[in-house]
Amino acid sequence: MAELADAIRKIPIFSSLSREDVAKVLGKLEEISFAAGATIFRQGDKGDAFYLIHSGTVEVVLESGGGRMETLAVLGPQDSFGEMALLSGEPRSATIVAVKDTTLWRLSREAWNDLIEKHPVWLLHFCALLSKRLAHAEHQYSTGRDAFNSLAEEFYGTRRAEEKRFFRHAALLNTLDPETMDFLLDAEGSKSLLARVEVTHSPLIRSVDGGKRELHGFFRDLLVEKLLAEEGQETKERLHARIAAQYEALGDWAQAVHHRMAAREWPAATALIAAHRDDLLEKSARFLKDTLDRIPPDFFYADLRLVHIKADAMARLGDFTGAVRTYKEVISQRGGTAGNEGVARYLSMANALVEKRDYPQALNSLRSALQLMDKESSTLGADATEIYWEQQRAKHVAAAAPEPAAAQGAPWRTFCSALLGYCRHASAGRWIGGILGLAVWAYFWFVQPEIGLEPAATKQFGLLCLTLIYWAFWVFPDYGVALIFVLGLILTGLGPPDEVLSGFASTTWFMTLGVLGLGAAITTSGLFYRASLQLVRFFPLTYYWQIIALGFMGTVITALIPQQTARTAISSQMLLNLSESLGYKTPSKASTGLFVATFLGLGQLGFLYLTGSTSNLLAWGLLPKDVRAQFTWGYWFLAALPPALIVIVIMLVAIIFLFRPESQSQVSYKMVENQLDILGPVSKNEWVTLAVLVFMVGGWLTFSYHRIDSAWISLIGICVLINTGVLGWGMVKKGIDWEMLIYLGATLSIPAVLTKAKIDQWLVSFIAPVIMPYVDHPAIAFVIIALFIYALKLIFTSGLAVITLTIVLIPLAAEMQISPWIIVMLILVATEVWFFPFQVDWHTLASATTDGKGFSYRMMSRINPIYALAYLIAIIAAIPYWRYLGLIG
Amino acid sequence: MRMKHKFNLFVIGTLIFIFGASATAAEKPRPWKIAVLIAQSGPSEDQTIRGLRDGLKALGYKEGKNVVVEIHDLKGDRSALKPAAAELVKKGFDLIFTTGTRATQAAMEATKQIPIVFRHPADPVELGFVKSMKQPGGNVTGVAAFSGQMVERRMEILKEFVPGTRRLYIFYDSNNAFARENYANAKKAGAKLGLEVADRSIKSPEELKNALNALQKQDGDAIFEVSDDLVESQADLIFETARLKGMPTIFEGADWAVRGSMISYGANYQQMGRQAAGLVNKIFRGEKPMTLAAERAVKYDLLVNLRVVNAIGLTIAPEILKKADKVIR
Repeated sequence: MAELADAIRKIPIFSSLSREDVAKVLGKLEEISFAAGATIFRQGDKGDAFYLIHSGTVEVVLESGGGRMETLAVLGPQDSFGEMALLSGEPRSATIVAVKDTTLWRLSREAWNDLIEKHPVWLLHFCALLSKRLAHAEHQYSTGRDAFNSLAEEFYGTRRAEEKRFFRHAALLNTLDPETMDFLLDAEGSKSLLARVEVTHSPLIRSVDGGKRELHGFFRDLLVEKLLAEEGQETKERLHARIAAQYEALGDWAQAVHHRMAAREWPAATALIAAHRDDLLEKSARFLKDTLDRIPPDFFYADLRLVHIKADAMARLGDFTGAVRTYKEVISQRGGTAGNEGVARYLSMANALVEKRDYPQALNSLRSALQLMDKESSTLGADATEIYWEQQRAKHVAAAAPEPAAAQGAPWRTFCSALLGYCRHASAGRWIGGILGLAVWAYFWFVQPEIGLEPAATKQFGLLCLTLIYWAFWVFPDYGVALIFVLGLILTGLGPPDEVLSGFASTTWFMTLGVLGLGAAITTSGLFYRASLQLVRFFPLTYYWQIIALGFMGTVITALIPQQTARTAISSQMLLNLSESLGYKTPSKASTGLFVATFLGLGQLGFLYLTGSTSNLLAWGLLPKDVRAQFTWGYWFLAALPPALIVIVIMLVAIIFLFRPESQSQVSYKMVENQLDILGPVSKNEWVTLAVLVFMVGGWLTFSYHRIDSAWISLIGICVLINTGVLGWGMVKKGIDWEMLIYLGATLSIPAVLTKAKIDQWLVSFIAPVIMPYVDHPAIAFVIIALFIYALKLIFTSGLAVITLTIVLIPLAAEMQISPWIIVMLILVATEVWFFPFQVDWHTLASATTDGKGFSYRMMSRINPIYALAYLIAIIAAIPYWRYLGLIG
Repeated sequence: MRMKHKFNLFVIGTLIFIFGASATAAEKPRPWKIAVLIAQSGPSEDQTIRGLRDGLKALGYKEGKNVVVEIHDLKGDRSALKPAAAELVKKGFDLIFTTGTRATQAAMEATKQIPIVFRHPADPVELGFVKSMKQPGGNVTGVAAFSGQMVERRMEILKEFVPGTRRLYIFYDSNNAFARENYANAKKAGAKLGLEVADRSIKSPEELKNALNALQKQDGDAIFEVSDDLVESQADLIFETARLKGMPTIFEGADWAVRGSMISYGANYQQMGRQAAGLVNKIFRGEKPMTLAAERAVKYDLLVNLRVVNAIGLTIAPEILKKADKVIR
């Protein structure tokens, strides 16, 4: 050891250390030996350590493109290497090979960081060392360049005009592939020209791997200068753009991105990077990071996709602190955490995780914080489907070579998804919907065809058709269309205002307001997150137990927060961390399984509780008054429990079979405990929220004793939450889905309006002949209805399908001698089914929140047919129970 | 000669074609025009009209082609009935179809020539619509449900489903002779079955609301409805009050249970509509209402609203419930 200490103190950069510090350094040095010819590290490797040569000799080799090797230096005992990568954060700039048997002392990056922190003067030594090396390199460079320039000038000056032009353009290419040159440069005879020049002027052009050629760097510089002088900057950029397009056609995304960047075409470059991000990350994270560094800041910070990709690239290069810094810069630029408790929580969690050096989870938290900021309104209950379509549009911008979207697994799925989604989301689809809606309305309004309705009813039907078409084609926001409907009725005198707008003064509306307020309080106070973590910790941290825990967690949480988007967006972050804690790749079969299990409770069982989704509240509001009175919160739960249990059992078994993890999990509660530590003790807001929660659920369950309507109990709850400050003004504005409330208020009166105009009976006359033959066989009738809904959901969103079908099918209940609630339950259960990602908004939001890392749609879609089947089985199996309750005759 | 012969053939052929075409045009019948006059539509009117349309369709009529059915719903505006009936006569309808007492009376006052077919809930002879069921004797015939004769049956049903029933509240429009008659019949039937009948005569919706608010429910109380336009126009209010006060309700007419009555019993109006379509068909084929026998309703339905039963805290034994033609759940 004394020998080692002396050796270290003889090294110039360690000479200033005290004995005590040398002792500390000794404790951190690791001795490693290499046989002659062994590679110690390679050029491009991550810089993770600094090396001192104890004995032996190593050579520093520079690998240039095409596999050519050039020895830059030979180092012996007491020499050091590896400091450059540690200082710059860049990958290794050269390869180090042992020339003889060599023994090295290795100092890890962490120990290096500690030493630099304690002895800043070391940096001066290293700067001096680097300066010497640079001066040496500069000398060699200058000498070489003069000689090359003379040769290149002579060569260029003796070429014919068309050859000069060819070389000027070829200089824009990194490598020259004789097979693709003509295509890329829109030229002819490149192959033979290159072969001739290579023979006569080998220093200017050299062979590299795969039969390709490379122009010498100095020669390229000269040619580019000539290009600018003779053809100008614009031509250069135009050429880059054309070459980029050709590379896209060839599927060489890295080259395509490089040339788009050179052409200063930022949107096209961004679209390519976003569309081929995985490929580029896999092949060259360094290239990706460098490219993103060159994108103008305004453009870079405006596009969150680029931020995520850059952070991913840095993380892949081992530069976690850089990735964290990138996120923090963006969050700071976007206004920080002001007024957003969710973002603040994620940020503080990220800071705590950075301190614990748990970088992957810290990055997940930062990613979620940024997503939450960006899609704040969506997170708490709005239009997540838009996010999906934004993502899909981005993926397809690179029109030259569209890849199958991650969301689809097969061409037919891609086709169907694109076709069905087009009507809703493309602007052309909206125009078509807009014109179609107006045309249909005008037909019924002015032509007044004889369809079996009275003239006024025919007009109302025309207005209803316009509304449905506008909803289906997303011509305007759904709540905006609902307002058009009520205004249409009022202004044309088809309905009295107090009747048409009665939904806004209904108990259903106030009940929903209270429930949405409670949901906002639960999500923002942190209570939901804490409860989820506690549940996860309660169960053993193995894959199968966690599948059950997550299914159970989702089922419980669903009772309390009616917005599926809010539930899934907030839980997805925890799930991603959990999946990583269990040691699964993200996304992978196992991580997808965890998400599927969570979505079972959080999303697919919304029908279990009256407050399980906003659609439930909407459908409940559309039920006849006495049916609403019968189906209190508790009775709804009792009546819906058996089918829900059947779905839970079938789906848990299916998840366990379909999503078996690829590897054994690494059992650790670290993630859960870390996050619970960060959350700290239960806050005042959480206590208040918990008390209100208990009060509201208790109040709903004990209705038969106190006879206070659920709406007033909900209103008391929200009153307490507002007046105790749990729901601040910001949260009342942003946390409560006011769009949903406008939609609800405007649509609740539709059944009464239709009944008055006898449109409901008229509609039933079309449906009854299909259903009524099976009235004595409810199972068959229910399956027919469910299958019809599965099909309808390809066109309609869940909310729209629920409202339309509830209005149309409820009158059928009397004919079928079943409770209208059964019809509503069928609708709610069947509208949970989805086959394409655009059919569910909460999935897409969860995917966006985890930046696509949480789960793979391709894998997740395996479960969809089983859901469709499980729902049918559950509906049929529940018939005897519903008969026992007197809901079916 | 041959040329002349050919010309003659051409002229004859052309004439045959022209006359044939015009004869076809002349023979093509214009569609029969039926006006449906309703004082105020409700479920029973809707059922009746649906039945009428179904019946006509079954008899080979096609709406819009050889028959036109035009609905004239006066939405409760009684004063508009007479002018509306006169307007129908002026418009030259081939037949007027009426539902309810007032609409039939208004149509009868407006015309003695145009055939009138009614769907009447009670006894049309008593009200003077027809001289007798077999020989109506005027331009009026139709289908009648003889609800008065069903009052006793409805009381029996109520006692069977709610065995503790002792007192029946009956709301009726004292300005309406038909309603007064119905009430009198109900009182007689109640006495026969040992049920006390509480008189709640009213003259306006406001009086009805006040009377409902003033109801003090005691064990064995129920609301018994006799056919009355005014009362039926406020049915929702009656159902809501009865539900809140825990009182059983029984309405006359099959579909009231769908709207919220605990029990409803009465003629199947859809079937009555179909029967009326048969009479309409016979008139269109040349028979005179004067000799076209009026018909009795052939189908009566019993409906029970189980939601109301549960809401007011009653239970009905399954074997009793089985007697219902339809159970609203």
